[in-house]
Amino acid sequence: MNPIIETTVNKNAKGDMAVDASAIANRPALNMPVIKQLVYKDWYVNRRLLATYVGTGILSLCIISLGEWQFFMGSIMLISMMVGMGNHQLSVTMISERKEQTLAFVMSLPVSPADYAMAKFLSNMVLFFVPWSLLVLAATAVILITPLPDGLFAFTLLICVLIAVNHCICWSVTMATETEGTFLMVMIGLNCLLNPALYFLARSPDIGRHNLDANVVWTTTATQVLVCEILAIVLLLVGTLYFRSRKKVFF
Amino acid sequence: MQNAIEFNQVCKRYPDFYLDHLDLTLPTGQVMGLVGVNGAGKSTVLRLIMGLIQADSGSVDVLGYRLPEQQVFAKENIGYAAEDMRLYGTENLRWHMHFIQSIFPSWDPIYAEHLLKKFDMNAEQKTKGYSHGQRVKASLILLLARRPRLVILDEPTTGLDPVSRYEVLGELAEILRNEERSVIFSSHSTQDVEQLSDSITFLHKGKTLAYQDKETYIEGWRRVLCSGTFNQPLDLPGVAELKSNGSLHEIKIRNFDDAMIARLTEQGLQVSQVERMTLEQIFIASVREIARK
Repeated sequence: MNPIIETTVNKNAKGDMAVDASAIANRPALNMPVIKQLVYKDWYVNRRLLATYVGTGILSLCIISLGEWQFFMGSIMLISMMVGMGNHQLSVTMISERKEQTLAFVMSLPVSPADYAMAKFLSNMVLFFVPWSLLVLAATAVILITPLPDGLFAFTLLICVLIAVNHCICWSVTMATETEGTFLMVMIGLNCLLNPALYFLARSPDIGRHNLDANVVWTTTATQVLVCEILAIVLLLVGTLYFRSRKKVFF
Repeated sequence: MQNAIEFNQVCKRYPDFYLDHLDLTLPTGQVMGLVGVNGAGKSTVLRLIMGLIQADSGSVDVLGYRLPEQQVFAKENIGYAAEDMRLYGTENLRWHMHFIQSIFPSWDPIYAEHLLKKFDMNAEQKTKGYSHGQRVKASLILLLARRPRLVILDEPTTGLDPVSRYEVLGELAEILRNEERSVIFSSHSTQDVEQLSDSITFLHKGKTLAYQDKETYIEGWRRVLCSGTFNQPLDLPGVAELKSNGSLHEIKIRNFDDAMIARLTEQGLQVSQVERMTLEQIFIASVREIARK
């Protein structure tokens, strides 16, 4: 099946190649069939990478409930996999595309800078949030099913969403600057800030204090933190996409 | 017949480069060679044609579409390959062919298989293992099999071994038989331009030195060998280069006509030989003339 819209150029009576102005006017602003193909392309090119991160993430969850040192090792592994998965796929789909000059190949396709921005938005979000959701669901299941205290749920969910916020910050910065150096600096900075965030959430009387409770405890503070995190994600994505799609040209 | 490409007074400024009021027209079905030294502006012109960059002033129309605003429409009918363009190294050529086929309805699978055989390419091999020549051939398969109305090639033969170059040029010559397909290509190799193109655009430091059909352009140049002593400073229009070794002189002249022989004789010289020039000789003479000025 070929989803692309038929060409708008027709031959007129004289045999000249005439441009069909009405077709131009009626065409949607975004070339969605090609955007879909670009998203699929990124998914396909990164499939092994994602499988490796998800597989290792699941492995970390398998050991997390086996004992104390296994809990610390498993939780660090899980966080590392989530952070690494986001950063690695940003590096492959955006930074390497520029460095290894495959971007020229993409730009030769019938896409505008707005189409490209939309394709990168969709692919990076799908590539991150699909495996991320899998890991969050698996982590929730492990907390609720195994002897681990159910009270860990709120803390774990907020940390996982915070990692998603960091991923969105990295994506926004990479889309805006398109430079490897800035991407690396922001990535390192955010990773450094993850530890204080873990500390403050763990020390919070309304969140971390319930970590060892036998039942799930969801407080107003947890809701406020979650809403702030989701709001940050939405603002980052919408803002970056809006500014990026206003570009008329690639360079 | 509509023009495939129309540049009207196009300017583009970079910190170290200025494309200066470029006018360019490529009629449908014609082949244009862009010639120039590194930094002449060839890639800038090709990027403008692809809508990848925006002109500071002037207008760019490609296949009847205004660029960069309508680049998506234009690119549906353009095949573009650049010497430094890379494919996805972890995937093979077959995957790339399916990918392009899913985007371009005009993809011709039979022609794609024909090109695979002609270029002796293994479509199942991962592209990261390709040599430079194989990469160029793979890019050409991906762009030619989509049967574009306009082919844009940035240095297609640079770095190719003689056999690959022969194969690539042969296939390009083949596709040029289609009268509705237009081609613009840049090259350092004036031989390639001489072999393939109908017209030549000579760029130097963002300015057009010449923009003419190939035959007329080359026909206008001569290398004149003569001897004797000038009885006055050489006064001849169109002299691009004069080299003297004692009483022997080599003069390279543009817009040559037979009356010039008589004028050289009048100035005390004996003309021993008048030769046609190759595009390469013309290219070098023109660039050196500008450097001297």
